[in-house]
Amino acid sequence: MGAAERGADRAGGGHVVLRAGGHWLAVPAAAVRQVVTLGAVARAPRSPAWLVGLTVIEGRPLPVVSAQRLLGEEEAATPGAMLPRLVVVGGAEGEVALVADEAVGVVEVEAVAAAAAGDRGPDWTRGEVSWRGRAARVVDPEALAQAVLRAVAAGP
Amino acid sequence: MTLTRLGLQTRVIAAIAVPIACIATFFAVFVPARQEAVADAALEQRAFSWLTTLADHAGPVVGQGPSDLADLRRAFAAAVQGDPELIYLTVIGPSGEVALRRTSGPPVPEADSLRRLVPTRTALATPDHLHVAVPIRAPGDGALVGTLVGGFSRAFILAERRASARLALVVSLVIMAGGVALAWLLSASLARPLRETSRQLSATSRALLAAARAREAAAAREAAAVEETRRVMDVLLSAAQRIADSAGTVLEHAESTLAGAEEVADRIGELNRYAERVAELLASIMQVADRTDLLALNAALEGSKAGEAGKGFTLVAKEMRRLSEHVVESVDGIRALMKEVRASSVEAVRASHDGKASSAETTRSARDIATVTQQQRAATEQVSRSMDEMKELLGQAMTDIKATSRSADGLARLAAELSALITPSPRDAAVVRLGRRNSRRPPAPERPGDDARAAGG
Repeated sequence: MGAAERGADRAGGGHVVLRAGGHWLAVPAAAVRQVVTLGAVARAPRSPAWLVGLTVIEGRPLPVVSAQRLLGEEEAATPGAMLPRLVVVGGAEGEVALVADEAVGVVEVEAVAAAAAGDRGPDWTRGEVSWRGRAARVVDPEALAQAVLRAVAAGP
Repeated sequence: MTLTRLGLQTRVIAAIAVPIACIATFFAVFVPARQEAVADAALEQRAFSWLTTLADHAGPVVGQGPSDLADLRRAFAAAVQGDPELIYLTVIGPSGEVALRRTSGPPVPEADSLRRLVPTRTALATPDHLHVAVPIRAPGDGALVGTLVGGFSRAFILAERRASARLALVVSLVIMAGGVALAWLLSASLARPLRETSRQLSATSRALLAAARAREAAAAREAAAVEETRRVMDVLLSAAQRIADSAGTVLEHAESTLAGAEEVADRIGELNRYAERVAELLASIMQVADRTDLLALNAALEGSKAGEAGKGFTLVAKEMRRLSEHVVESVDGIRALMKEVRASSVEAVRASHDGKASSAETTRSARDIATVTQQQRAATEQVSRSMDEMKELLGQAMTDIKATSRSADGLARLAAELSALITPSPRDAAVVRLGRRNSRRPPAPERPGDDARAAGG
């Protein structure tokens, strides 16, 4: 069973809504460890384009992932009112930091709608939620952490 | 006809002919008279000599009888016949009677004053005769015994005098005719070049007069032009003065504007420094707002995780985020305003810089204008002074030209007089009379300003 299908069975709750380029994402608040300001990032040689690099947050080395590039969009400067954020998402296998142009905050969403058959999205998402008239993809923290960490562990 | 109406030739002829006539008259009168006197003296000498000789012969016989007088009578006859001028011989006795008388030709009476005894020889001349009386003295004691009176004809003397006068008259007439001819030739040779000279002098004086009048007219026109130029120079000088005043005012305004522009530039620079300080403060505020937002976000996150217990915390965090967002929005608004302020400031700096440059250029131009105006003023004043000097020189030239005109006029009059002197004509005489009247008339006093009025046209 895919992540979208799994998400379709779950009830809504607090989500951290963020924007990555032209995409809106909703990360379950329970999976968000903390939100910090984007600091120094060390680039990893021969890493995939969506992997921005490595950063250290409170003594922990974390991979920094560009959700925008993960969603197949070329990165362009679309700054928000605040500085770019790093949303630290934790799963069973570890934590990753998603780069967000802006983090709206913790919002309550009604329910997670199942994605259409033709628009299932990547494996690390599980459907969409509607927020202020916009559609936001719901991030599956486990799948995201698993995919990123495996990719990092596999190396170039 | 007065002497002045006579021509030069006539005068020269008269000047030569009159002395010659006088000399001829003198010789025609004096020489015959002198010859007559000499001839009378010679006749008287001869008569005395002749009668003294006869008286010596008569002395012994006078007072004797008639027979004793025969020799004396013969001697008288011989004497009368031998001397054609001797007309008579008469012996006057002691009592005044005629003792002997011998005549030739018609009888001529003795002079009454001589019909007596005369102690000394005596002569008495009449127009036609010379009567001579010689005392007859007796031999021995020399007593006066009678008087021998003789009469001599003066006809030959008168004839010689007439002949001499005629000769002198003829000679004088010949000399006078020669003199007149010579005077005519001489005067003609003198009058011809003098007439030519007079004609040339007259033409020259007329040309000189015409040239002087033309020069006078030209000088009057030049003086009018100089006066007009002087007026224009005055106008230019006044305009230059006004331009200089305006340029000074513009210079003051430009310097004031330049100072104002510099002040504005300083103020704008200060404003920019304040704006930078505001931007720094805004950056700090943004950092604070960002940190606040981040803290509120994390607080809300933690509140959300805390469930029901964290709801209040979540609400506070939400309010904090709202505040931070308001701060961010305000900062954004302030930033937008500051951006506008900075843009306006940049524009103001540029405008101030342009204004400063324009003011500096205006100041420099105003100084240049002031300098050029000063130079123009100096040049105009120099031209005005030159015009004044030229006016003075033209006035002097006008005076000289008038003097030249008067001299030319006088020269023409002299030429006319000379022409009239050489060959008088009614026109020349009228000119000469008019010229003399003008020369005798006192010159009209020149009113002051005549030259200036003439110069000013």
